[in-house]
Amino acid sequence: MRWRLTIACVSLAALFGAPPSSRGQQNPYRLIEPNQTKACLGCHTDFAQKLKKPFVHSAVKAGDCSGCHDPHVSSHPRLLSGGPKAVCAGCHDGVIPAKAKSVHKVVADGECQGCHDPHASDSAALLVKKGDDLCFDCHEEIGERVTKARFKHDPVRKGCVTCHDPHASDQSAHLLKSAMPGLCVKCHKPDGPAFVARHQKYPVARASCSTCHDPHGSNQPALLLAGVHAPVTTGACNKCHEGPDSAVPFATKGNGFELCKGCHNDMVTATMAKPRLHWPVADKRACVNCHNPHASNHEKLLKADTRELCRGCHKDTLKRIAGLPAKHQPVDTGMCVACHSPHSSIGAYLIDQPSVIKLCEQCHDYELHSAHPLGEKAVDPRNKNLRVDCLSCHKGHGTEFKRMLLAETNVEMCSGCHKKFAR
Amino acid sequence: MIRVKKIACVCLAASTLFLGRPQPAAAQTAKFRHLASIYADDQGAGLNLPEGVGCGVNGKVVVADTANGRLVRFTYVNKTVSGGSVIKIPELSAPFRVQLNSKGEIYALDGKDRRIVHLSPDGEFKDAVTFEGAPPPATILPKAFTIDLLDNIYVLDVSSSRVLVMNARGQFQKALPFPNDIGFGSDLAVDTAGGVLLLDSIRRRMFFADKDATAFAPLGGDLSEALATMPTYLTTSKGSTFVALGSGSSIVTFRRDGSFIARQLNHGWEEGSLNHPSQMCINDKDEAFIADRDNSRVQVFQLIR
Repeated sequence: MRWRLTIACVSLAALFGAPPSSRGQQNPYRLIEPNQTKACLGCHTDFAQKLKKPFVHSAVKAGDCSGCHDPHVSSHPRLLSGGPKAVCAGCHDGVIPAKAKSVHKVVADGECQGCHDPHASDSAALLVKKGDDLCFDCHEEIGERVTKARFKHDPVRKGCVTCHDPHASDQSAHLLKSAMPGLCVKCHKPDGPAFVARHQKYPVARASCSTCHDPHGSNQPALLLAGVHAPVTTGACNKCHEGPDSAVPFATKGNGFELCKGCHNDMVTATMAKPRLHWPVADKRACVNCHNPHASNHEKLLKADTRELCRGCHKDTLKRIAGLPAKHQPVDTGMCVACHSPHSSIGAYLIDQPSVIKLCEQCHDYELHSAHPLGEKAVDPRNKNLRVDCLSCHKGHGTEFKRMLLAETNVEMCSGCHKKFAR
Repeated sequence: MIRVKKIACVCLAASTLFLGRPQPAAAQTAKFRHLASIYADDQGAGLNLPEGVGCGVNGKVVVADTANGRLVRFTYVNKTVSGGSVIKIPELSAPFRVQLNSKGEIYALDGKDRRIVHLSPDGEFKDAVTFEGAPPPATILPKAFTIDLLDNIYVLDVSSSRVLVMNARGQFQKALPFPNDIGFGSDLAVDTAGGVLLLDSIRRRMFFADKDATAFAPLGGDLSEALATMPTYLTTSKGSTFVALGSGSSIVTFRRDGSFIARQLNHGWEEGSLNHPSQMCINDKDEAFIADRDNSRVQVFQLIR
């Protein structure tokens, strides 16, 4: 009895456990057209043209449509046998290294089709567009800079993949194939006399080149970033740093804002004279929390545009604002500094005006749009210590209601204070 | 029939035992019941954006009436607010935080000169904390401070990313460096055993250092969910930690181990609601005083534990 069972198991295993290719050869599914490609193309006639392209996915070439698609039913779009990420990873695992330091967002999200055509393409690696044009579809701003730059960087001419791995990198941030400065010194020899002289003998081979140089191209000689801090322009590195021969050449000559005060005395003094500090100004990193002390592509040597810079700490505020249908215009354009003073202020919320009304007056003439009493003489009925000002009815960043009002209807708005009119 | 009754009794007893018993979280929850609101000094002059409030013994309360550039002293006894005498001195033009020591002496953080001013219980200027013997750098920028039961002063020195501990005479005792991966240390509190709590308002975490510790250790992991908006002020009392959410207009309570208990109070103008709460202090009667900044008042709550 037992040997019969064994034979049955072995037979079943032989029947169903055989490799798919051999099953295909034997037409185990009894397809009317045993060649799977032909079977599919019988209906999907538009594919015939596509498959004439120079680069065809090997699975397609092998006629293994069912390698990715379920011919009968699927819970996924296009009858895929799994989610796009899982289907691709079935063969292409290891695209993301185990200890990746950076991963391309589209790869992490499993949107392989954003860059690759899963069937066939005119470009190598089944890319949907040729080379850098594909990258610049999303990285538009970099594309523009690369095109318009007066001084070009050679590796950029050769293509983004010269320095970046389009999938992920286990070496560095920004998908770089190796970390800076290692990547740069492969071409730029840091011990060359010209290099040493240009860098005032500082051992910059240990520093991050992109704090001063734009690797994508620049309108400044030596690929410097658009705005350069005056001491860098004049080669006066030792104005802030210890000498190049010092044991700690990159150590700064002062701490925090006190170093910057050496040149920016008036600004630092004015900042510290106000009672409300934007506290990062005063911490260990101080000014360099927001400014790049060497060079930057953003105005006032800021590390990023204002919105991104503020988002670094105020994520929750910006997230909340993003979901509001009625946004204050400066907020919508990322101009936080239109209302908030980034260093210090006399008023709360880093508003450097004696009152909210004075702040709003800079752009709005409130007397033109409302006869409602405002200001020092208008006591808020809700609280005798408060005065009616713009924020009594509006919210500075925005709300879900028109004109950034605090409530949807006039009745709701007004009866918040004028209780006797409440319905 | 008797057997059925017995089973029913056992079931009832078991359900009372396991379901009816208060949950550990609930046992530590401190609910806020509004008692009173303080609006003005003894002359009827209203508070203006008060950011600080300190509690002392015998119902003493001192308010940092920030935008008016003054301190106002009150007494809160038998659920009644009295007093309201003003302390307005040139040495303290922009008071932000207040603490009272065991002798009733007043310490206030001055935003203009960025120093901690020391006043007598009557509000007479005595001196400013000098940080005698503190290790370099010499520039010390206090953002927050607190005082323990032994009158030691704990100062959050933003410029050097450290907490300085000074004794009652202002002499240096020890320095606790901020953890390396801190986002921004914005406030500190000290418990009755001398343990120091540090609030990281950017990465939404808390750190703790025992009385004898030389470094901070994480407490309670990532608190992003509990602290949905930027936390600004921290205080501790009887094993509970209270964090004020400025723009969130609420108070979040944590257990001693940093685990979340509850988020309480809401944004509003009515008494019992908050509009940008700032410093908070809790007295020996479990009465909590909150500087309700944008409502220009101080609110008093009974903590029901």
